[in-house]
Amino acid sequence: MRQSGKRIYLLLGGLALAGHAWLLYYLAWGGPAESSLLACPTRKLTGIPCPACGTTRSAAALAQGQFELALWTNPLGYLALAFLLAIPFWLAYDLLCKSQSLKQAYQRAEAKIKQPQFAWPLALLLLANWIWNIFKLL
Amino acid sequence: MDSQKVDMYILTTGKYFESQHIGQVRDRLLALDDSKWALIQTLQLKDPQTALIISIFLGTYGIDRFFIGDTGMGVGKLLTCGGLGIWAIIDWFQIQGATRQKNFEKIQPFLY
Repeated sequence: MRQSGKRIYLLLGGLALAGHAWLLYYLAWGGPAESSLLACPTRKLTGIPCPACGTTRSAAALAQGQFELALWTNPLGYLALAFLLAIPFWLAYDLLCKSQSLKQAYQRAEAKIKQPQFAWPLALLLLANWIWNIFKLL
Repeated sequence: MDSQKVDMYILTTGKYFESQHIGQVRDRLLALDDSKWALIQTLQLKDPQTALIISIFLGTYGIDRFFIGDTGMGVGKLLTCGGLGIWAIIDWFQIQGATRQKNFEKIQPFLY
């Protein structure tokens, strides 16, 4: 499964950029008090939260130093913030050093999570998180 | 390989590939040894229309990307509520092409 390198860099770069813009917008104008700010289409249409609902709130809480609140909102916020912090530096490193380490890491990770021994536990973990989300009424 | 066999294969699987790739697939199949025919026939190609239907209904969870074997992008979509719904909508238009591209990538190792 070879993918063109450029596409992976565009995808990850675009995702990180959009994530930063969204988090900044949320922190600047949304704020935790404004609960009307719902971006998730599933949540809007059905009222049931999706597995990733609450990630923004969690990442925002993390950015403000509220580690416990972030964990209770959605543990995925930790993952999201780690991604947002790491990707720009990794992209810059690859660009400056003309390396392809990010692309290789992406392809290795993709191959890994396709293996059943990794795919099933991750899927179950996400499912558990989803059920927790629904009970928390995020 | 026998041209009749190849043409029959192209006729039945043509919709799984981009039109610009079909000629290349046909040429390579014609040059291929007959012993590879069984392998080529059992190759599981994904239907772009199925992918589109999955994308419309379950695109927000990235299931369409998982379906065509684009696991990395699937996880990306799943963990961002389908890119806040925007990525999911973009993929309604992208997924058929992506499926055909993936099918072409899948058959590549058998052609050379």
